[in-house]
Parts: sequence; C-alpha cells; structure tokens
Amino acid sequence: MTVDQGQYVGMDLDKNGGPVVEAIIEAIRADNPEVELVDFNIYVKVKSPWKLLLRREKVEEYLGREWTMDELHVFMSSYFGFIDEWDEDHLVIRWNRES
Amino acid sequence: MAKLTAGTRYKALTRDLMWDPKDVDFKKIYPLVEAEGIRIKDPKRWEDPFRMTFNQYVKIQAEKEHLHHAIRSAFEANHGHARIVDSRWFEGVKAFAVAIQPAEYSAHRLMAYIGRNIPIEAIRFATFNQALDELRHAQIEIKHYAHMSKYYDGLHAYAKTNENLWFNTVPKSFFDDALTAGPFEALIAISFSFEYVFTNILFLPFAASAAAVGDEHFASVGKSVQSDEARHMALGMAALKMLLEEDDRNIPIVQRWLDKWYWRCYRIFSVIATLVDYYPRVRAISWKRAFEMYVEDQVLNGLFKDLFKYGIRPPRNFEDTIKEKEHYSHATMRILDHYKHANYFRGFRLQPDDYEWLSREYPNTFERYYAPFFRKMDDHVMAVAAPGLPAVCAVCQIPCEFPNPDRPEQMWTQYVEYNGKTHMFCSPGCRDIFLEEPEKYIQWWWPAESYLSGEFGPTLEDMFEYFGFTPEEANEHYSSRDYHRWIRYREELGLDKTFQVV
Amino acid sequence: MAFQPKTLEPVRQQPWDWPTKNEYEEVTVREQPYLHGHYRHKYYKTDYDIYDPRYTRIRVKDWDAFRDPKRLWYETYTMSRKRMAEEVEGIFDRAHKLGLYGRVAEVWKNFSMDFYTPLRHYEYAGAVQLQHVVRYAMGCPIEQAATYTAFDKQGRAQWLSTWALEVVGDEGLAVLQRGKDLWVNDGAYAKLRRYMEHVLTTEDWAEVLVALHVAIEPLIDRVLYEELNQVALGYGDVVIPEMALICAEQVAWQEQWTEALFKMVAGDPTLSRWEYLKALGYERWPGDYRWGKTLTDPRTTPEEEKTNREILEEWVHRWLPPAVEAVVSLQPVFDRHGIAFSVEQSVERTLQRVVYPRLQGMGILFQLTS
Repeated sequence: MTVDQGQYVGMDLDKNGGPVVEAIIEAIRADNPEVELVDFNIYVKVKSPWKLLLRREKVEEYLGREWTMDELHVFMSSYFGFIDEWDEDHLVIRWNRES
Repeated sequence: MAKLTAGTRYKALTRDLMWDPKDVDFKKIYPLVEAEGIRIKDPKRWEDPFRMTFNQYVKIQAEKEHLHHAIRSAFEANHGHARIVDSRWFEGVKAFAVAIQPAEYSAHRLMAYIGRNIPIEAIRFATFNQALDELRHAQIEIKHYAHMSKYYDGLHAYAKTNENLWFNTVPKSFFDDALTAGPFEALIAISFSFEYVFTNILFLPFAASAAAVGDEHFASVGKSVQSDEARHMALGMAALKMLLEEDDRNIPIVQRWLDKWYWRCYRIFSVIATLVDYYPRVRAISWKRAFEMYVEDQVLNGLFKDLFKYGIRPPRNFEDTIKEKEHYSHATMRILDHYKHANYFRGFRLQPDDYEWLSREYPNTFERYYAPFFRKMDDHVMAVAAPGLPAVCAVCQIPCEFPNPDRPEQMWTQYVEYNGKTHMFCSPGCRDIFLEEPEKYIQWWWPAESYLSGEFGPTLEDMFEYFGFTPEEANEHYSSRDYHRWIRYREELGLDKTFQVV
Repeated sequence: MAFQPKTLEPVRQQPWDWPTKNEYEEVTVREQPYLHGHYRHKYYKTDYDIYDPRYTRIRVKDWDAFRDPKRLWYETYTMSRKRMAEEVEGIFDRAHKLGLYGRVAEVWKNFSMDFYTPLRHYEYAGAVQLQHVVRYAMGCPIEQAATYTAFDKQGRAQWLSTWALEVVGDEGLAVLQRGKDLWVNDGAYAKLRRYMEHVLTTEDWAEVLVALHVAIEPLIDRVLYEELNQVALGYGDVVIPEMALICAEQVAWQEQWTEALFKMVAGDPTLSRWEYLKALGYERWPGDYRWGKTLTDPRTTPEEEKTNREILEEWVHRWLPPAVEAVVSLQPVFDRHGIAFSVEQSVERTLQRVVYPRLQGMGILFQLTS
C-alpha cells in the first residue's frame, strides 16, 4: 500500500549544523513517534504525519547546552505545512485539515 | 525589566507604527491598495510566524554570512574550481549565474515595492527583511561568479548578457511581470508561488548536486540562500491565508493569481531541470523525483488539500506539469543544444555514463524520444545547431520546442490570434496566461526584433558584443577552451596523478 | 598574483569588463538592468519602464558612478549592525541589572517617555518612504544605500520601542500606546507628523532623499541622538546617551552618503535624462517599442528645463523651512516637563554648522529668513 505523502509536514535541515542538527532531530523524534528521516547527503528531511512538534527543552537535553529557537533559522533550510505556533519554547508545524 | 513574551514583544516592535494620516488622504499614501480588488478588513490579525526583529535579523544573518564567506575564502584560496569532478558543471553554474542572480536582484527591488504599498505593518517588516535577503543572495551569488570569471568564460559582462540576450529574457520577463503587477499579486507571485511552491526545487537539489560534484562553494551558496527561504515561505503562506480569510471576494482573485504564477514559475524552472539531470556528472537526484517530492507530495497533495476548505482548487494546468516531468529536462536540454552557439553557457556531448543514467532514471522517455537527438552530436558537436533566430513563446519566452507529453513526437506549440496578429506559445499553460492578460503580454521585449531593427549593430561581432560574450565562449563544453583550461589547472595541481600502493 | 605558476594564472585579473576596485564595487556596480524591461506597470505610471530615469527630475551622466563613502554591502552591513545590536542589548541589559532608572530623576524619565516614544513613528515613516526610493531609484549603488538606511530606521524605531517597553519603565504596551497618541493628537507633534505625511506622498525619489536626509533629519537627529546627551547625563540617565551614540553612528552615515550623492548630482551638468545610456554603451538604443504594439517613445517626454542645482534648490526651499518649523514646534514637550533645552537654538546651531555648509558644498546658497 502506498502511503499518502501529502499528509506529511516537516522540515529540511542543513547538515552543516552537525551536532545542533542531530540534537534537533533527536528532539523531534522524542516528541513525534511517527517521524521519518530521509537523507539527502547535504541535508536531511524530517517528516511526520499531520503535525510536527519541536521543543527547545528537548534540543537542550540532547545538545547538552543552552539553545535558543533562533538558532533554528540558520539550519532550517525549508519546511512544509503551516507554522502554527512558534515562540521561544516550541514550534508546531501542521496541516489544518483532518485527512 | 518587564520581559515580554516573544509574541507580544514582536507585536510591540513591529505594529502600530503607522498611523491614520490626518493631513493627507490615506489613498495618496497608498495609491495601489484598492487597484486589484483585494479587500482587507482587519489586517492586524495577520501573523508572521517567524517574528523576526531588527536585532535578531542582523545577528542571525551576520552569523550566516560569516559561515558562508569562510567556506568561500577556503574554496578560492585552494583552487576549488579545479577540484570538482567534471568541469562541464560550470556551464550549469553559468546558467544559474546569469539567470538566477539577476532574478534575486529584481526580487530585492520587488519586495521593497510590496512592503511600501501594502499597508500592513507586520507584512511590511517581513517583506523588508526579504528585500534585504534578496540583495544578500544577489551578492553572495555574484561573489561566486566573480571568482569563476577570473578562470573561465561567459560571465565577465553578465550585466549586458542579462539586459540583451535572448536566453535571459526568460527569467527577466518573469520578474518584470511581477514588478509590473499590483502589490498583492506580486506578493502571491513571489512569496507564495515562487518561494513556497518552487524554491525548494531550486536550491536543495541544485545544492545537493553541487556537493555531489565537489563544488563546495556553490553548495554553500545554495544552502545559505535557502536558509533564508524558509522565512520567505512562511511569509507567503501567511499572506495567502490572510487574503483568503479576509474576504470571500478575494478567493477568485487569488485563484487566478495561483493559476497564473504556478505555471509561470514552473516554466522558468525548465532550465533548473537540466541543471539537475544533465550538467552534474554525479547526480544527487533526478528532476522527476525532485518534482514528485517537492511539488506533487508537499504542495499539490499536501498544501492544496488544506486550501480546499477555502474553495481553492489546484492551479490550472497542474496536470500538465505532472505529465511533463519525464520529458522536461530532456526537451529543455534539446532546446539549449539547438541554440548553444549563441548562448553564454555551453551544451555538452553526452558521455556513456550519462546515457546510462538518463535511460535508467527515465525508462519511458529518454531512449525513445531524446537519445537519438543527443547521439547526433557524437560525430560533430554542431550537428544539432538550429539555424536562425528561435521562435519563442510570447509568455515564458523559451523557444517553442516543447513536445506535447501526450504525443511526444509532436510539438505542444499553441497559436492565438489577437489584434490582427498571431501569437505563439510553447504550451497550453502559457497560452492560458496570455488569454487572461493579452494587453500585458503583447508588451514583451523580443530580442530578435531589436536585432532586426539594427539596435545590436550591423555585424555579428557587434551582436556578440551586445550579448556580453564572444562566439568562442559558446558552443560545446568538451571541445571548448574552458575544458582545456580546467585540465591545465588540474595538471598544475597534480590532481589527476594516480598513486600506486605496494 | 605574481607568485602563481603560469598555468594557474587567471584568464582575467578583473572579474568584469568594467573595472572594480574592491568587493563592494564587485557586488554593486551594474547590478540593476537598465534596458529592455518587459512590461509596463498595470496600475502606476503605466507608460514608464521598470527602471526609468523619469521617476526623478534630476539627471546624471552615469547612475552607476555613485559610491557609498562607507562602501557597505550586505556582508559589511550585517556585520557592523550585529555589533550595534549587541551593544544596544548590552546597554539595556546593564541598565536593567544595575537598576539605572531607579536613580534617574523622575522629571527626565517622564519627559524622555513623552519625547522618544512618539519619535519612533518619525523613524518608521522615513523607513516606509525609503522603500519607495529602493524600488524606483536608478542603479544599485544609490538604492543599496537607501536599503540599509531604511533598515537602520526600522531598527532605531525598534530600539526606541524596546527601551520604552523594557528599560525605562514597567508599563508594557500602554507606554507605546501613549506615545502614538501624542504623535497623532498632541499639537507639539502636529507639524512633524504633517511633514512626514507629505514625505509619504512625495513621488520623486530624489526629492524624498532631500526631504529626509538633507532637510528634516539632520535637524531632529542632532537633538535626538546628540544634543540631549548632556542633558540626560545631567539627570543621571546614561542609557539614552549610550544608545544615542550608536544611533548617531548610523545617522552620520546616512547623511554622509546623501551628501556625497547630491554633491555628485549638483555638479553634474547633464541636461538630457537619457545621457546615462552613453556611459553604459547603449547610445544606439532606439527607445522602446514593442512587438505588435508601439508604446509611446520615452524620449518624447519633455526634458526638464532647470539644472540639477536649480532643482535641488527648489526642493531645499520647499522642505527646509517646514522642517525647521516642525522641529522647533517640539519645544512645548520640553517646556511642559520643565526640561531646560532650546530646540530653536539647537536647530540654529545645526543649520549653521551642518546644513548650510553642506548646501554650500553643493553650490546651493540658502539662508532661512526668520
């Protein structure tokens, strides 16, 4: 069965970010059980059905240092979905429809 | 100090700065606000999810500049240009240089126009950030070409090439179209259709290709530029949503713009398709796969399903773009090879590994419809040159040589009679755009006409002078002086030595 | 580079066919296309080209010849503004941690809230109309300087807001609301507000630069970011003067490049607005026409009859007197808080020391008769 690719929201992260990007990915994994990663060599696509949550606290936990959501600007090359919430603690990308 | 939350703070810093004028008429300050029929009731609701302030902007961007220019300096100091896997890549970079770089600059002026004329402050701060970003892109790209231009052909008079060459009318007319539209249409055209729907496919696959062939500098250009695009995409999405939610009467207007600009964006990306499928000798991804992922999955099946509730349907002619995905890069490369004797970036003779890759990635189309054409160049690189001036599409301005994807042995060319003249189009998509605004599109600048009128001067040399390059800078790559230069640089650096291990 | 092996020598020493001296020129000169715009505007100046010399009355023999004296391009601009942003944040942060506004005289606190907060609207209006300049000015060298200046103004408006919101007091958004109320309704601000509204309806982009950077801003910015520093220190406020030093750095640049521009313009005897085409190598350009439809030939638009200097003079006569009036009329804000400062004297000093000499440098003799 083919999965409806249109249901995914997500982001493309620049792998130049090294440990920061790895920590972002781990933080996303922790909060989004159905997350999928697709590797494109210089960047990595992180996608999740319908909704994706990223929390600063989680990133700090995996990174082992203080981290601000502003640092995401440097490494988030692209995203898909609507950015529903973005403040100093978290980011939510989602579609507005049910299915 | 009463620390405010990011949201409240952002609002306080970016809103309520303009006031209702008391001594002059509001419409004198904003003469274009009603021109397009868009109705705005409560623009204060509009939210820019990125909430960038001046301080954040300059700090984040200075950090990006620092990272990027460090990579650039290392690449330049270390003759990175000689270290890539195959120099034909540079022909693709040249195409990108003279097509996309001026587009970035136009977008810079355009975003200032939008921000000035739409009386919504949060949009204005986001558009002005973008106006700066676009200048940034124009400049970091030009720095790449400035270095390349010292070692290779084709770029040294890029401004003239941009102003006068037939090929450059394609991207130039696209941005000129937006620059001459009303501010809301321009916003949807660039921030939504261009940025959200298509820039991914511009910068991510091309940057991946750059990395695959070893052009670290261009990979960094692509990634650093694209890191600003996420912010532009957010602006486009938020703008679209606002216009749709503000007033039902906006919906048909927005639909018309989506229809127009989807196809307009798609067509200028034809050259990008060749930069993904043809110019890199080591490919990161195919156009077909990139299109499926970034446009079909993320936009047509993702976003447009979300817009259904507003009564927005997928853009007109979107099925055609899907049908064309297995033909697009090949048909475009064929066009470029037809006119490579009058272009500043060269075509090239396909190599055995190219035939193999293209056949494998495009099993339904490449061998059957396109490989025979490219094989003609095996014996003589100019065998496929088209004589004379190309007949170009009156909308996208690409030569009318796209096959009909339903019947690939036939051309897709369309004709419309208007005001006693026959106008020619590359496809139904471009024809439909013309039919909506014929008075606009009959104003296009057609280089052939300027040439025939004598503006380019009496001789062929004059014409090339006007184009900003010489005939030696055109044609086929592997037989060109650029290829031999590259080999010489590599020899000097000892890059082709093989070492035995005993 | 002489020490490179011959086989690695570049094929050309200069990247472009036109000479460039530095990175700024490499990324600035010939960025804007001058010819062959494809369409005409649908709604505004429907007969003008996309980049058209008729958006201003002044004429220049080579629009690309202008140079920003500081040579700012994106990299150098963001690097320098990052430093400024961090300094301002540091000032605010120290002010908060040291409780500096606890020691500042109440009278100055009240005055500064009523004075600096409304003026963020003045900075903002300038930024808005500079975006008009960015769109319509001729050539990248000029509009690039306008771009960064507009962004600086947005930045200063935000610094003033942050200061009012988070540093001087604890009132939150109400303080900004009151500032706007003063700006819109208080008689002391009426003339300045009206001046900015007229700037916002000025179409000639070069005239906008005269109205902003030659007339009003030198006068008001001297008060805001320079002359009040000593007064503030007298009342125990070090925050405003420290922030003002940084703002003054930006303002000095904006006046510097505008002065360089108008010196170039005033000394340029060019009479035809199409003269610049020669500098670009386009003297053969036959004017514009289109396939299937002839647009009006741009060259049939009558040429301006005055010289550049006369045009500048006309603009200075139009804008400087109301600018002086607008700034002088801010005096009641000082008086009602009992701050001893004569705006009129400050304006007079600036006219004598800055504005008149600058105008003389452009060959413009102008004296305000009171």
